[in-house]
Amino acid sequence: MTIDLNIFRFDPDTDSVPYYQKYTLPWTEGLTLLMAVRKVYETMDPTLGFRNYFCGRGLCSSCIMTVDGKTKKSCHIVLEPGQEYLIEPAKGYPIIRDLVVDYGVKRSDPETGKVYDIMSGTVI
Amino acid sequence: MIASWKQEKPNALRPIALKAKLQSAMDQFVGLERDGESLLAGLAKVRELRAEELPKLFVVSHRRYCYEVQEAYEVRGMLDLAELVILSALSRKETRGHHFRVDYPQTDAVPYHTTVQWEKGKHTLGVMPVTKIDQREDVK
Ligand code: FES
Repeated sequence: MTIDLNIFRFDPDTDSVPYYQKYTLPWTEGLTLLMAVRKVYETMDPTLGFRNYFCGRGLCSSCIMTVDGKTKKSCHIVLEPGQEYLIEPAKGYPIIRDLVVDYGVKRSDPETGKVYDIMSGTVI
Repeated sequence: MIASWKQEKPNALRPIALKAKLQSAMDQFVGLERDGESLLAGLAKVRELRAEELPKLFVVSHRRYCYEVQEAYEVRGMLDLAELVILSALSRKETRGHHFRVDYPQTDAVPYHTTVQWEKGKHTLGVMPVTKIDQREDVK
């Protein structure tokens, strides 16, 4: 069984428009989206840009991506076999490359939509 | 350094591939149970990796968010660190905590620190007595 990831690719230095690249990888029990993206980077495409620093358990929000139009923590998304997913960078932030965005000093909570200043932890 | 990593070469190696090789060598030779023989074999292996595999590193070049370049720096540091770990493990000829030497299963009565200094590719081993911090000359 496999899964398909349609991943947003864009390098502002070399590409004039973004494009989507499709990766097919084997599905395993409990595979999360974050781990799948990491697998793509490790075994298929070293040029894929994503944040490879993460807690893996929903605490740090460094893994947020837009999945089928909704911004979510990708370490919390368990993939279903045989499905196709559309993966884009987190909405509302400037894109650095591929799935990497510039979070700046503001973070928005994907659930409540509140925006925080990470230095002081207060709502802006 | 970066320039040589970015050059195309035959049998190119990705930084994560070298990391994996180093990790499995450390697991095999410098694991929980170690003895002089396995540590020396590990040391030879780490030096071999540095001499033969490190020059083969190849990273794709992006100006933005190039994680591979960072990994290449990391693996270079990991090789140095692995060597230091093995050298200091070799110089501690006793079993203490999780440093379990099969060939020296005893724990010495008087504890001591082993030190390794690494300067310009050369190492110096040393021994330091364990003293309370307020009794140390250099800290006062
Ligand atoms: S990896 Fe930390 S929140 Fe997802």
